[in-house]
Amino acid sequence: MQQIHVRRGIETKARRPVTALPKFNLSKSAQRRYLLFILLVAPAFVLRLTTAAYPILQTLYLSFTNLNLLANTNEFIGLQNYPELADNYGVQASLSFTLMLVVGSTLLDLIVGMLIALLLNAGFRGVGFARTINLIPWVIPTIVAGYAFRWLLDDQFGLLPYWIHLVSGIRIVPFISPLFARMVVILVHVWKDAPFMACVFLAGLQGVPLDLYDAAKVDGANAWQRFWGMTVPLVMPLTITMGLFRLVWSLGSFDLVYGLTQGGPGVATSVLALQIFREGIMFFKFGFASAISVLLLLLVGLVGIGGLWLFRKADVTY
Amino acid sequence: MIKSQTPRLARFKWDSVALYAGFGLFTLIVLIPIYWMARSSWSNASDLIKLPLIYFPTPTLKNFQTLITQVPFFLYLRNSLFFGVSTTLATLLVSFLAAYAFARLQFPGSGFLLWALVLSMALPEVGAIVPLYRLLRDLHLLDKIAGLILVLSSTLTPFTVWVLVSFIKQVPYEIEEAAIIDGASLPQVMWHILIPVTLPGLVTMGLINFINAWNNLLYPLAFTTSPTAKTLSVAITEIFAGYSPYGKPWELIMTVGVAMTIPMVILVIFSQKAIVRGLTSGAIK
Amino acid sequence: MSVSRKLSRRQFIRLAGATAAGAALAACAPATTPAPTAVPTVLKGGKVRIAVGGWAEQNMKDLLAKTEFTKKTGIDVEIVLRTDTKETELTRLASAVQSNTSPYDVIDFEDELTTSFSQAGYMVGLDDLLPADLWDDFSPAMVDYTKTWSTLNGETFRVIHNWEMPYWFYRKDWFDQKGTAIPTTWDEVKGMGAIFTDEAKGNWATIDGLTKGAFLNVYLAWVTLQAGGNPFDVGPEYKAALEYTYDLMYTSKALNPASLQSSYDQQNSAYLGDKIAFMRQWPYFGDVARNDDNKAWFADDKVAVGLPPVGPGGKGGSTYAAGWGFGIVKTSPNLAEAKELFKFLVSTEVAVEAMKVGFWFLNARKSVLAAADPDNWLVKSLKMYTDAGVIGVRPHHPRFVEALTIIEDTAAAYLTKQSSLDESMNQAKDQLAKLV
Repeated sequence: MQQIHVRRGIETKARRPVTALPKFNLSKSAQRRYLLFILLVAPAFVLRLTTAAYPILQTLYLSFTNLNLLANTNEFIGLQNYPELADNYGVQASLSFTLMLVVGSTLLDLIVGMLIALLLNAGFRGVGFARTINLIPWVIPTIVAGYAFRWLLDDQFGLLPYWIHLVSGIRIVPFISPLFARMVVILVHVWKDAPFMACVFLAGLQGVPLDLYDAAKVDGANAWQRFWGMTVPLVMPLTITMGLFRLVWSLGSFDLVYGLTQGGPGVATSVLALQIFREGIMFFKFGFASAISVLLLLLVGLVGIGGLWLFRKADVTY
Repeated sequence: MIKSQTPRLARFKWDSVALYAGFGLFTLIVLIPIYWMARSSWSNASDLIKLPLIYFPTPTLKNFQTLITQVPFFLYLRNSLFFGVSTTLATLLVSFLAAYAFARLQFPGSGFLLWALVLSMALPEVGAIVPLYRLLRDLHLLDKIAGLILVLSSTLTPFTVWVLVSFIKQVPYEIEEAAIIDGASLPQVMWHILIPVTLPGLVTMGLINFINAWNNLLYPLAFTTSPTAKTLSVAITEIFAGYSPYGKPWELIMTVGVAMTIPMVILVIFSQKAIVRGLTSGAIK
Repeated sequence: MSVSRKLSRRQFIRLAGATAAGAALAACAPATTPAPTAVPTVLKGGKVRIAVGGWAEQNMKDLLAKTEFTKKTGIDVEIVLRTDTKETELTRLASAVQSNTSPYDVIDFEDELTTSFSQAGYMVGLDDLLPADLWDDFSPAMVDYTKTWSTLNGETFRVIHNWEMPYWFYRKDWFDQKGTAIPTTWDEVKGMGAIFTDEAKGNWATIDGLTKGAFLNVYLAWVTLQAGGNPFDVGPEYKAALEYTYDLMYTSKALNPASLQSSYDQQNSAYLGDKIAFMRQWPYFGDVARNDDNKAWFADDKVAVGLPPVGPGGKGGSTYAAGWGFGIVKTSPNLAEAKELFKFLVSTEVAVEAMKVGFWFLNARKSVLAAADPDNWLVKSLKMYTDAGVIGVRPHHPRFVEALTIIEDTAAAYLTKQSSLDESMNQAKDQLAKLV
């Protein structure tokens, strides 16, 4: 063994958590443990505090100013930015579509993800191939997917409108119809994210003991009943966790809309992240952009809290 | 289980047909956009605007050539690689240390701290973009890859910590204990015991973080203006928006898209299992 | 920051156009190149950096070489490339000015940036540096344009060298076949729908480039000018323009609604694909139509240029022109040299030489037009439009970049039937009011 200085005392304290010791009289080894803990988590926490926690506070502060680099203004204006949020057609439209996108794509993600997982769970020739290509939508950069679909759906030279025209004679122009454009954004979102859900569901499905299924078969349950009565409840906590994550993550969705529609037609497919980017990074209206950010953060908070509450309620054990 | 012959066959066939139909549909939906992108990258620009559509245009490398000569492609590539690798290493380092602390050193408040850290994952990238812009400007890290590394490794740390904690917890403590009793210091325990054992987890998180950094658009887009710091993801948006004031050179856009996607696809083919394990281990607790 | 390097970015399609124009010009340029008669001040050495777009780099190099600027003045010229988008250029210069320096001394820039930069106080006033005969040499339309787009509070901050307007291209062969004359009023344009549009076949009278990102705004400026006003005023002219466009799209069916997500290149594809009878398009199309890929298709009759229709605003505003030009950055470390280069470039002799180097430098200055090849299609068209007096002033707004986004968003909402005309106009009015 190497000749190094030995840490005394740790071996005896190793497994017992430090709970009983009074605050002012920590034994040396406990102190060392504490110090060690702080040392080890410091980098991570310093990083998070300086680039996440503090900036959020700054965002909040900036939202109370009218800081605008191009117009050279920088005054504290209290809550004046907020009523303007309600007045601004861009923010209004982004808020409503962000919600539509988040709810719509998450629901579809869960459904499609489950379907894909069922497919990948089945034993058939080619399942390995399926599992591999399943990850491609996840791994492709979102902006590339956005542009690829924009080109795929081009009304003159895109593949899908071309086929639709061949088959039905109808010429569709997806990106000038607000309804179509929104549907396209939601569906491409699902294309991109469902595979990830599928992986998670697959792991969940594979964790379900097979004899449970066999027992149910003996009892006479058909595939549909087995699915709803057993698979779904067993995978429910996973579903809710993933659903929650997807909901929260997609609130900040930016890349896809930026590439696919740039928020058009008009502002029909604009999302909050896009507005923040536009007002902040393109127009340098830092104060106003921060107000929109606060709105987004509030939304994230609400959804997060709502989801956690839901999670507590739906706690399933088996 | 006694079932009559005919219903069983009937059920089997139907299941099978549905299964293979589903498989076929799935494959088409996933691969058609990819093929469309690839086709546009290896065909002449004039072939792309011919009707009826040419499904299999004669391949040409002209677009790649254009890309390499007209755009500082290799510079962007270098930036993306540097950004990806550095962010991954930085994140892994910071996260591993923290994960060890959370996994092995329990305190009354440590659970809460971990929870708070993981919860910060919910913060959208764009949420604090304005203060981050000013922070980087004040640190003189604006328009530098180092600035991007700083911001993105911070963003990726919570999830990495979360996953690594579960990986480390799976390692029985006895091994470490034995080493400590034998006189090993903490760095040695980490280096000689823990890292080799949790290597699969580290590799997995390394892959996932690299993919995230490679694909990341918002930070480079917001914080960089010169080609020495821009990444491929910004390059593709520039070709879309700024290359020509008259339209969008789809063949070039798709070429950059292909250039960005191929490394990722190769990565995925060879490490699919590792990635899936990492993604799901965090979720399944 | 960006140094001139071999790996320069070129705007490919424009390059194709410029090269074709250059080639055409070379084929019919006069045999001798008269030396410029103005002799610039000779400074003892020194250097100056000029920023140009990637597509103009070669033209600028050729011009400086041909006119022997460095030889005459002893000043070295370094060509710096513009960044890819307006926003990044704005950021680049803004950060540099904060540190009291500049990545270039002279810049070749467009309308939007001229507005932003001059308002931010980044540019040098140029009135003392201008040749005495400059304003006389400029066509009246150019003078009016300069007053709005190149000056602030009476001071000139830019002198343009490039003067481009959308031209009105049409299929003379189709019009002759149908025995129709080209439309000269808005009502006649509406009538084109009945004559040329056949939706089943995918043919329309016209298509335009109205997608997000400054395309739609350019069109709205054009059509509101025809109505006699400025879209940023959101007044009755703007309303008339919107109603007219809506009518063209959905009632008289002359304009393909797919325009709303088309760029100019897509427009060209439709034209070259024999899908439309006429269109408003920038001059580069003339070069595209004549390039190698389209040689088989091309015929003079297919790409004729006519005067644009006259709207309620009268002939004087049938179209507008925009330009790029030279300005000097205040925080430049080489101010004296920059001024020399600037004076050199805007002098009449060099302006004429520049035009001969490439059509990037073509404009309606009397001296330039007089020296240009009269058989070239673009020169003919420019002369036609200049002489007919149909060029109005491009509608302006002090916070142009933001204002155009507002107009685009609200107009697109109306034109894609998401909001009513009144809603769209009210939103535009409200948001624009908040800008100033």
